[in-house]
Amino acid sequence: MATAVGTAGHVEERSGIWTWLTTVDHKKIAALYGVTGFTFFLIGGIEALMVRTQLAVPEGSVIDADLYNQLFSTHALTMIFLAIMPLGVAFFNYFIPLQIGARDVAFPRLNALSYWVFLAGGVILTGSFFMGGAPDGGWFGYAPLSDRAYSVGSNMDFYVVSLLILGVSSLMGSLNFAVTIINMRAPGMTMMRLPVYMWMTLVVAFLLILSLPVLTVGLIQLYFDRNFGTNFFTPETGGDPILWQHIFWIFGHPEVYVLILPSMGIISEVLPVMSRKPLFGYAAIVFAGAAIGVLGFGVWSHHMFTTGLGTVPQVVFSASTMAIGIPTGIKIFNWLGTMYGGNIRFNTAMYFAVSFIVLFTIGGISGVMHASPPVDTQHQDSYFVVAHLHYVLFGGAIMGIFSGIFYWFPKITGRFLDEAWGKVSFWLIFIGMNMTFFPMHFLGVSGMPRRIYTYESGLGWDTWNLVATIGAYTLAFGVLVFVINFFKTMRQPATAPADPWGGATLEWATTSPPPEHNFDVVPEVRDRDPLWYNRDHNIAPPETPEHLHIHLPPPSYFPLVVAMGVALVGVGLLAHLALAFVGAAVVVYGIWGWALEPTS
Amino acid sequence: MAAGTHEVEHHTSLGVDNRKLLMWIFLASECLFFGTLISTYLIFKGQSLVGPFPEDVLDIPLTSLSTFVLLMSSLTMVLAVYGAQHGRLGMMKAMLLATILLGLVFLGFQVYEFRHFGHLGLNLTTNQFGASFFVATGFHGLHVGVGVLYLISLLFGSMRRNGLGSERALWVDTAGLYWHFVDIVWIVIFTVVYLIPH
Amino acid sequence: MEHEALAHHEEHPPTTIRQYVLIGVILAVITLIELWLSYSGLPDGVMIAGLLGFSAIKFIIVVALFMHLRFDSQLFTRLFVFGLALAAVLLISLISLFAFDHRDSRTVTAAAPTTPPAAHGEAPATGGEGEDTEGATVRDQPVAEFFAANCAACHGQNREGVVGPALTPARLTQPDEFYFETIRDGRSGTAMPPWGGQLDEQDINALVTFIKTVEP
Repeated sequence: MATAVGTAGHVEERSGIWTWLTTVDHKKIAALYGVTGFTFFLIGGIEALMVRTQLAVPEGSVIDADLYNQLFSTHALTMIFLAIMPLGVAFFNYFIPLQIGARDVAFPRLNALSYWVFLAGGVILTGSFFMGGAPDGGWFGYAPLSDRAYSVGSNMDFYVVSLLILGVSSLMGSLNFAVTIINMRAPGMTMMRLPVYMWMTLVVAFLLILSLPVLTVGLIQLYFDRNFGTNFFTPETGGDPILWQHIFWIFGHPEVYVLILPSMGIISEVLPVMSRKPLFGYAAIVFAGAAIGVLGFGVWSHHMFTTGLGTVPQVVFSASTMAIGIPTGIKIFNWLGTMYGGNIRFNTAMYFAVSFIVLFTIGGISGVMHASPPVDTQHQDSYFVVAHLHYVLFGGAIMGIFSGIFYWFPKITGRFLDEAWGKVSFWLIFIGMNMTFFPMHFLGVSGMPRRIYTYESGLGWDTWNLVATIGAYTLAFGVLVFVINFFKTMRQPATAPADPWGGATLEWATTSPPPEHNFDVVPEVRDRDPLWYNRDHNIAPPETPEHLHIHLPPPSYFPLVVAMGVALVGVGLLAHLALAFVGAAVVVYGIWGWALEPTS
Repeated sequence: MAAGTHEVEHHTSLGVDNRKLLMWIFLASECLFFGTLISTYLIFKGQSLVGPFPEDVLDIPLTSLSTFVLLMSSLTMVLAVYGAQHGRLGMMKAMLLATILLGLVFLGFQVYEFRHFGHLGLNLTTNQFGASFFVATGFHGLHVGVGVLYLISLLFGSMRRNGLGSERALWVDTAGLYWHFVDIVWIVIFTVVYLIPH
Repeated sequence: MEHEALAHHEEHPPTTIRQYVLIGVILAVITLIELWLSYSGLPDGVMIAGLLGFSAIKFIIVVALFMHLRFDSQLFTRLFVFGLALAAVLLISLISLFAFDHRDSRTVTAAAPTTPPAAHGEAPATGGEGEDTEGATVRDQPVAEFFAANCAACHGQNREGVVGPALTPARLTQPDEFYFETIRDGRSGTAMPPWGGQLDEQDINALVTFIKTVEP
């Protein structure tokens, strides 16, 4: 096997950009995902601030309608595909091997490829602003507005191509994670001893594996409609725009759970450790997560109640949507039960975790309101929906991610984020988020539609819009405080112990930060909370043998080559098809080189 | 494709190989891909406003022949896997080559069929049948093409001095899974698109 | 997924070359039977059931024996069947969401002479006087006015098509019954609502005649 990157005795950090370009180490790839994802999070935040600035007062004139359309569409795409998902993937990458006691993911080079392809997709999507105009048809790209007749420029071509590329990346990543979790667990770690975070990761991986191909087909059809003159979604010639909506939401609704389940997993790790007692109702929370995953495929049409589905489909989808509230509710009670009677440490990670429960519950309840078709008909396309989705995605997903950052920061970097600064950033983000999104409930109920670039005075929307904009800036300030905290912390020496919180799961059994091979000896698992079991039963950690011969896969530049080929295919689809064939040839070359590369 | 770390290859939780597991999960994903293409075809069935309609262009005997070719390529593929598993390398190579050739013949039939339909006045933009038919069968053809490349690289690999190495059977077996899947997708497309009356 | 199975790699499926070839022959024979079925002239229902059944048998043979699922880890079967079942359920429900009303227009053509819709009784009369639609009314409004007020938002002021399809005589090549039923029942899966509750048969016939005969 690989000898180039040597053994445990030889773990000195090789530096330089080449290391990062060719790395197959899941921890380095996680860092790449994390930094890139957070950068896109800031970009998406700036887009949101521009939108809120435009809407601060009636008849705002900061940006014009065209740019506004691009900004709100790209804000959604950036936050969903380039911020929340990759930040989730960053944690997956870092902690799947550490939590299941493996040395790396199942396919290290495929893992690197996922990242580089993701980066290509992100750059194409964001770069579209400077190459003729960003997507301006919403993240759902409803046909026929996304068809050539109503979207003449290349804006929506950028949408199609970047989502196709990001889909390829997510599919490869998910396949990798699913195989890793199913097949590379440490001895003794049965499926029902997996950390809840791993269970949620597994569910997310399968949601993506099974829903992305549906979107891929829809995007291909949209691309053909726009560029080759087919009529899948144009009604004049027998096509059907409603088909696009179905296809999009068959993907789109599972995607919503892809965004929220990782954060549910994170707080299921944070709450027990910070409450110093085991998770309440492990089996229930695992089955609830799986149930959300399965039911998530049966609710898509609730996004389409106003399209004239007919009575029976409306009843069915309304019922299935309400049913999904049950497993979600189970989880909320599990988290409350975990904290109940615990010896709680209220640090920043815990602040974010608890705020997740509160804010997600608000977003969840307004979600159940939409499950009723008559109510949904009133809310459709109003700011009420904007409020709902931001409570779920910001109050839920982002708060969970921040909780994870504060919880795992010492493990990843060996340093503690400053608690005082952390709490300041928490309160700014928490207050800012509620100031921004809660008034949107009022705006929606008083009739303000979504996706309008300006509005007249005197409709009763002025005050709450101003409040929301002030809230958005407060929120942005809170994120800025967090960024300062990050840089401040990174300048301090790495002194964190292996297990600063008294954690229960395997990642706390190795040093902070972990060595390249993760564990000197792969631990044996005897319980759901292996470290607590060992502590309570006085089982000493395994002794490190004197000579370690752990072989790690060598670095490889072929993932980068293949990713460049994929990017070239994307550019070709946008510019000239000949270029796409060149890209495909590069992909084939890269894969052949990859297959023939010596790994043993 | 990517080999796992050394240790892992010998200690997987479920005793199955990671690559094979990856391929099976990927095929589950592909079910949804082709399912969506086929259902688009079915949703647009009878929705074409102008001809040519399916019964005007589809040539069932001809397509039966190409279907037979693809079925036989599955047979040669499984014999290649047999050869790889039982160390009969000559048989493995010959059967890989046969599979590649049969795959190319199938693609040839498809190219002929597409051009023929074009002459009859059916193309992507003609009507809903044209759009959904060409996209569904075209993407199936693309999968066959990728499969041919996959098998060609295995064949080349097997001709090197060390052949496919100690994991020969696994490599050929995994490629076989992909190839058979492409075949069963065609079984469904052939029935739904060609045989079921219009 | 719980059990920690023993290594399977070294075991090969027990099938012999002769058996593989036999399976190949069986698959070919089934394909021939399918071919015969599709020309047999049996009733559609029987034929479709037969074709689907035979292709399912082929599918299962290939998956179980050529792809070795019969002999391989159960995990593979579960994962693949899960994907397959999900695809089937999703796609059947998707198709049925469209199928209620998206009938094959040419089936209607065939059916029309023998089983005219109940509502059709008055249609020929209206159709016969169709040339003089100027006098026709819908809910006591001139047809054109009714169209402008109720249909034009989706189909365009000049019936050129916007969200809904264009409704000009040149484009409307289906028989009257098709448009009659579309107006009466709506088209599920699209924004076209059913008007049956608000318009009587004569109103609908007037509208059909209007869109099929009067140039915009």
